[in-house]
Amino acid sequence: MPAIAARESWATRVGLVLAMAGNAVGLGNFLRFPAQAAQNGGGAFLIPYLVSFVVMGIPLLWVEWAIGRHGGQFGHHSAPGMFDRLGHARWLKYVGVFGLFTNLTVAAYYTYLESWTLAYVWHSATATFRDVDPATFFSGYVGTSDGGLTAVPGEALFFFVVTLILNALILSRGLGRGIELAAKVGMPLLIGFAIVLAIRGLTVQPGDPGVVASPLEGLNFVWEPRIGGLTSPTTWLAAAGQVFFTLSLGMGSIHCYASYLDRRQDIALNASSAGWLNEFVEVVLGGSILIPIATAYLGLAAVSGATGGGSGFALGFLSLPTLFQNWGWFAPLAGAMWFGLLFFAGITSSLAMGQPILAFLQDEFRVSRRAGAFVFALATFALGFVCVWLYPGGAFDEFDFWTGTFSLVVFALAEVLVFGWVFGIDRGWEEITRGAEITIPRLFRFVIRYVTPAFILVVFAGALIQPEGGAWSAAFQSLLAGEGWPLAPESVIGRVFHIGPEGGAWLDAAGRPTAVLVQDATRLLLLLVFLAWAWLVHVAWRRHGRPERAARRGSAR
Amino acid sequence: MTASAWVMLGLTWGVVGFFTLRFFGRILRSGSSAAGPDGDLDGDPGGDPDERG
Repeated sequence: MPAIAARESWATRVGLVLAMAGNAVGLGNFLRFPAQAAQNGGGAFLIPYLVSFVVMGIPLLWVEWAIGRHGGQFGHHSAPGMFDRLGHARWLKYVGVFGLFTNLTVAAYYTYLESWTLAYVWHSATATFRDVDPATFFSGYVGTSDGGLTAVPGEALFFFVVTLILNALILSRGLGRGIELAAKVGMPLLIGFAIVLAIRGLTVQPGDPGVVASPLEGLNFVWEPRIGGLTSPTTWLAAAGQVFFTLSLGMGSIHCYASYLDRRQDIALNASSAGWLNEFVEVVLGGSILIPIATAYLGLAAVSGATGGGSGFALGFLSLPTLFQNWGWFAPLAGAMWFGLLFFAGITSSLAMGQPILAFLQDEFRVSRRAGAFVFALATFALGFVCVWLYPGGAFDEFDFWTGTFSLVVFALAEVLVFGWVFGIDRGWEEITRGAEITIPRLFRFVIRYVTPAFILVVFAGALIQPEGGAWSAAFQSLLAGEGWPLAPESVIGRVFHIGPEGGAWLDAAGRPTAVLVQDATRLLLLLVFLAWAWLVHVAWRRHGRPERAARRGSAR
Repeated sequence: MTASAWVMLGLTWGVVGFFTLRFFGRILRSGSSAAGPDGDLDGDPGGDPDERG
C-alpha cells in the first residue's frame, strides 16, 4: 500500500500555478509557435488555435488536474496509481504507464536539447559567435560534421551531464524548496528576458547596422490573416497540435503536480490561470521575438524559407546568435538572455518530467527522494546518451516523434475517454468543480464527454494518414479515382513503413548501416522501455495491490 | 503591418491578455502564502481518512 504519511504539498498557490505554467512553457513557445502561425495562415491560424484551446486544451487541463488531485487523495502521485483509482478494472493502471514512459523518454531528448541552450548561454556570453558561424558551430557541437551515423561529442556530453545534475539537484530538494523555487525564479526571469528582447527587436530601424527590413514586416508575417488557411484541414490540425503540445497535455506531469493538492482545493481557476499564462507567453511574447528579429536582418524571403517546416529551430539556434552581433555591446547579453529564457523554459518543463518518475518510485517502491532523483538522472542519461550518440543517425528525431508527439495524443485520448466514460462524467464533473473558485459552464460536461475526445480523434487520424504536402482535397480525389491515398512520409503510417525516396533498407549497397536501421533500433528501444515500465507497474501492484481488492479476495475465501 | 494584421494582433492579444489578467490576477490577489483556499500549508494529506488508500 502506498505511503501517504509524509505527503508533500505546494508551499504557495502562486508557486503551484507558476510551476504548472513553467511545465507548459517550453522551447516550443518561442521556436515552434511563431513558425507554425506564420506558415499556417498567419493571423487566421489564431482562430482554430483559440477554438482548439477552448474545446480541447482547457477541458483536458481540467481533466488532468482532476485525475491528479483525485489520485493524490489515495497517496498516488504518478499516473498508474491515479488511473487504477478511476475504476475497478485492472487494466486501468496500465493506461497510466504512458504517464511514466512519456516523461522519461521525453526527458531523455528534451534535457539534451535543454543542455544546448545552456551551452549557448555560455558561448553567447563569451562572444564565441562573434568569430564562429553558428551553423558550423552547431554541426561540430552535436557531431554531424563528418556525415556519419554516430557521434560522441565531448562538449555536448559535458553540458548534458551538467543539465542532468542541475535537474536532479532541484528535484532532490523537494516540491517547495526545489521545483516551486525554480519556477518562482525561472518564470519571472524568462518573461523579463522575453520582454527586453521583444522591445529591442521590434525597435530596430531600417538604417541600423545590418538591418535589411523593418521588424514589423516579420510581425506582419506572423499576424496577417490569410483566410484561405481557415478552410484547410492542415491549418486546423497544426493549430490543434500546437495547443496540445504547448500545454504539455498527455504527459502525466500535470496529473503529478495536481496530486499534491488537497481534495477541496480549487482546480478550475488554478488550471485556467496556468493555461492562459502559457498562452500569454506563447502568443504575446513568443510571437514577438524570433521572426521579427530574423526578418529585420535576413529579410522576409529567408525567414519564410527557414520556417517552412513549421519549426523556428534553425532561426533560433543557427541565425539569431549571428544577428545579435549587430547589437554591439548588447550582443553577448542579448544572446545570453535569448538562450537563458529558452533554458528556463526548458528546465521548468524537464523538472515536471522528473517529478512523476520520482513520485512513482517513492509511492510504489518506497525509494527516498534523493535516491529517486539519482535514478531519474541515471535513467535519463542512459536513454539520452542514445540521442547524443545516434543524433546524426536520427535517434533524437525518433524520440521526439514517438514519445514527444505520438504518445501524448494516445495518452490524452485514453485519459479523456476513461475520465468521461469509465470514471463517469457525473463523478468527473463533481471532481472538477469541487472547490472551484470560478464557475465552469455546464456545457463543458458535454464537451469533455463528446467534443474533446472527438477532437483528439480527428487530430490523431489526421496525423495517421496525413497526405503528401498536406493536400487533403487532392488526396481524396486520388482516392476516389482509385489511385490510392498519397501518404506523406511524415505521417504516422508513412514513418512506420519508411515511405519516401530512401526506402526502408537497413544496409546500403556497400553493406553499411543506414539511418533506417538507427530509426528502427530506436523504436525497438522505446518499445522495450514501455514494456519495462509496464512490468514495473505489474510488480508494484503484485507487491502492494489495492486494499479493497485484497479485502474482497479475503471475504471471498 | 497591414490593417488586418493589426486587427488580428490586437484581438488576440486582447483576448489572451484579458483572460491571463483575470485568472492569474485572481491567483496573485488571493495571496502568495497559501497553496489553496483553505491555506493548507502543514503537509496534511487531506481528504477523508477513510477514503485514502
